[in-house]
Amino acid sequence: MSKEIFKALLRIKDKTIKKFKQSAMSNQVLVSVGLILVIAIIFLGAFASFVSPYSPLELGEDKLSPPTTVHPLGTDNLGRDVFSRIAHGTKISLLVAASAISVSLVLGAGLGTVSGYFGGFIDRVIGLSMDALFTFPVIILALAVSVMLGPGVTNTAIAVGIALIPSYYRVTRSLVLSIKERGFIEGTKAIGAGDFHMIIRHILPNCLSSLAVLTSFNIAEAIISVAGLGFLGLGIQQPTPEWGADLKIGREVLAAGAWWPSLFPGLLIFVMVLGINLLSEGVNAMFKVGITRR
Amino acid sequence: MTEGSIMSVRGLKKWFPVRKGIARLLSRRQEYVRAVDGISFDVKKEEVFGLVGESGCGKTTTGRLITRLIEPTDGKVYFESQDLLSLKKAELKKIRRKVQMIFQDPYEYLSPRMTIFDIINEPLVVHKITKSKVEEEKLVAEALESVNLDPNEKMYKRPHELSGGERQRVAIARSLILRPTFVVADEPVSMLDVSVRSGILNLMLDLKENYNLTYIFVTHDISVSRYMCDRMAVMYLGQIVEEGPTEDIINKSLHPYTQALIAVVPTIDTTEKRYIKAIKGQVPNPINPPPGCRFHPRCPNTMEICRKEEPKFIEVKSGHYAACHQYK
Amino acid sequence: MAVLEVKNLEAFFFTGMGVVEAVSGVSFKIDKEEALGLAGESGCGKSTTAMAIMKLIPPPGKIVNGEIIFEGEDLVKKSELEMRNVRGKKISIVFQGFSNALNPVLKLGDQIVEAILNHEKMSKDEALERARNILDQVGIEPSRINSYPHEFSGGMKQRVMIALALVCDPTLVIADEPTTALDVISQGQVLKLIKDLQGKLGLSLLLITHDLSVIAEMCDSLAIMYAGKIVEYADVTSLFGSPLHPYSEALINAFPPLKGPKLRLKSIPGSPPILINPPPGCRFHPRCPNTMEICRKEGPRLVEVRNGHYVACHLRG
Repeated sequence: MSKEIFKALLRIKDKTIKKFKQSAMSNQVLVSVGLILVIAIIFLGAFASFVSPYSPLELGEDKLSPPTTVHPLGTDNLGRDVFSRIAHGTKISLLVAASAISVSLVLGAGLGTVSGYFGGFIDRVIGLSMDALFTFPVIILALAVSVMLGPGVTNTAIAVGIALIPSYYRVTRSLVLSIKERGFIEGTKAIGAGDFHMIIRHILPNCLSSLAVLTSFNIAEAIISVAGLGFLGLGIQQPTPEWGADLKIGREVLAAGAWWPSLFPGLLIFVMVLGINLLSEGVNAMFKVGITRR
Repeated sequence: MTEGSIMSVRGLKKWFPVRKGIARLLSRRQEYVRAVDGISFDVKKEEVFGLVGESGCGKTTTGRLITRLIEPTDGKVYFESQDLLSLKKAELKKIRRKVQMIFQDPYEYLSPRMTIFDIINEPLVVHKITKSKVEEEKLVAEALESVNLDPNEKMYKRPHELSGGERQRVAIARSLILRPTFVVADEPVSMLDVSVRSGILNLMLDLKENYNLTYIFVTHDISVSRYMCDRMAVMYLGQIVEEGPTEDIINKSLHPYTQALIAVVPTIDTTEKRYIKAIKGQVPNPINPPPGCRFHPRCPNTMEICRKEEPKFIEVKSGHYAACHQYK
Repeated sequence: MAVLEVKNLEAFFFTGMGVVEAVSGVSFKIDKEEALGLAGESGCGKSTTAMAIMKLIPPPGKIVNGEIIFEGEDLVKKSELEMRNVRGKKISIVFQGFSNALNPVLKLGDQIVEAILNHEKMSKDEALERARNILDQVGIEPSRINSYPHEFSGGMKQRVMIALALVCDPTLVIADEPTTALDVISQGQVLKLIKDLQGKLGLSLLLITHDLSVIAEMCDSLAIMYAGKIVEYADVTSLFGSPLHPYSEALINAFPPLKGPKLRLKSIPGSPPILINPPPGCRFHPRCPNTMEICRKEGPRLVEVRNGHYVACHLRG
């Protein structure tokens, strides 16, 4: 089983590289830039402990010091090194966003599959609840859940996760409905396959690429939501470093003339989301192209 | 069950409820599309039995009812003395090893993401027949050879790398790997190129001999039906209007609809430059079939009784049945 | 005088994977009131030929060479603007996928009137009158001019397509698999209609289909295409009576006969070649039972073997 997955991944890698080479020059630039930005930031988060000169929690004497050689991005109002905070904040923000996406993907796609495949009463019940959730913008929903659950890292992941479930639900459900109509589904039924086999072997694998595309859009949404909650003071709390939470305290000292505690977290959010968007736009364009023109 | 028959169908019906538009919500009567409206026939062991008719006559639906891909509204289907329609899930799964189906569209029927090996192997997996990869490969290779495809070449290709004819062969291999005794073939060559059709048709005939198969062959093409079938039933608007040995139906047809169908088929024989004879009118709406004999609005020989009473399906000559008031 | 004369037409598709030589040197002619059948399997280039005549080949396809002489003028040299005067008015085309050609939200009458007013100047009432007339000619109740496409069956929609093709009195009608999606009885009705109208209106007809029996019933002459080339070209009686090219023979034998002795059908092994950078020699040779050495090296030319009967084959030509 795992050997098959490995082989499948290799095939995907080869296919992706081939599509990349086939796509237009402008698109290649798009994908490359996006990829560089995203990877750079992920590395920053992954190796946060190695690159940070200080601990993000270490209070210092030098409060609100502008960028110097000692503190390359300055210090915040508690004397903490902004660069170290950003590096660790990256790790936390990305991990929380990733957990949120995992929650929403599994639950949303799971419910969507059950709804689409079995239809009938189950579909109506689940569908109505989802429709209710779907009417709210993601950030509002995350806010509401967050208020109910309280602040903190885990709760933020859950809140944002729940807020993203409806989009996965909708997409999976309509995908399952259309895949159900495909000829090979009827053919598999004719050889005697049961529902479980059908879902695992045929329906879900055909959803994967669309779900991957959806995920690329939702990751940006998740990151912004986590940061947004932090900014509102509802999500991840001090002293844990997090882009949004740090943006919040940064804003408070902006009037005093300190631009660096807010600029850099904000910049990172912007760059990450930009990178994700460029990458997903580029990758989507790569895979949609049929016969290319040189 | 009749003597010598492997399958008996009695009074099979499938009525599809019509979805109501807003205007129709006001009327309380539920309307139905009478796709299959009470058909009965027997299929003898190891014969090829044809179901012929225009699109919309119910022949494809009949095929799916027999294999229980859709559930009938009424009627009975007996296979080897078992009542197919009353089987529960587990028993139905066992029966699927004996009753298989070949579909029309070789492009849609094969999952594009699977290799040929996976596709043909899947029935073995579903029914947990093999115990090792080696055994699976052996059976799949045999299946490919039986449909004249080279396993070494094709085993690990994907459907899009194969031609239409090759794909249909793969579909046939997949249907036969469980060693069924009864196969419903739904327009198996209609979507294939003309020069490829004969290969598939001949293959199906050879497989029938080698594996002692019984076929129900569903098609709109009466020439193909003549080539393949021992006996045929002609369907119109959900009912069987004529049934009998193939040569009788072609050369001595009884029902006016069958006669029209045969007359309208274009042929290559240019020594007889026949002008295309057309039959008037359209197939009526299956929601509200005409009263009496359903064919009467288009029939050249309509009598008074045809408008009022539905004709009975009777044996006009030995083994040759028709539902028409001309015959008593 | 020939209404249409195609000379050495070549149309290629320039794709990212190579150049597909879809039509490689096709020549034929159609006289006034003549019906020519263009037969072959899918991928042989017959539809592309039709598209080429209408200059509707989608990119990355292009006409690379040849002449298409219609009523004395070479269509290949005409501009897009000039072609708009030809399409629908002098040459019309009836397609296979009828359900896609009609706009589902417009009434039938409006669509026909639109087609008329595109090419001729007249008042809306006059156009409506002409539309009713043409519906009557194709066997549809003129009152149905106010119906929507979804109210019609497949066969009827195809007749509407024919009506649209005829509404501006064209000289040549191209029918590309006009009945393939229809069942046998609707097919009979549509074919009879086309034949009757051809006689009544003095039309020339180019009928494109894989179904040889339809061509036998409808056409005066026939060209069989394989892999982008014409392999045999003759009048219908001569070709069906004594086919010369091995592919023609095989194709004719692939149709199970309705009457007469029931012999085992012969099939052609292999499949049609991919037309990207095709190999030299006769394109049919890998599947031919009579291959000779020369067949692998040189492509045979279309030569006249008997009066009006042409074949491209080293053995028979």
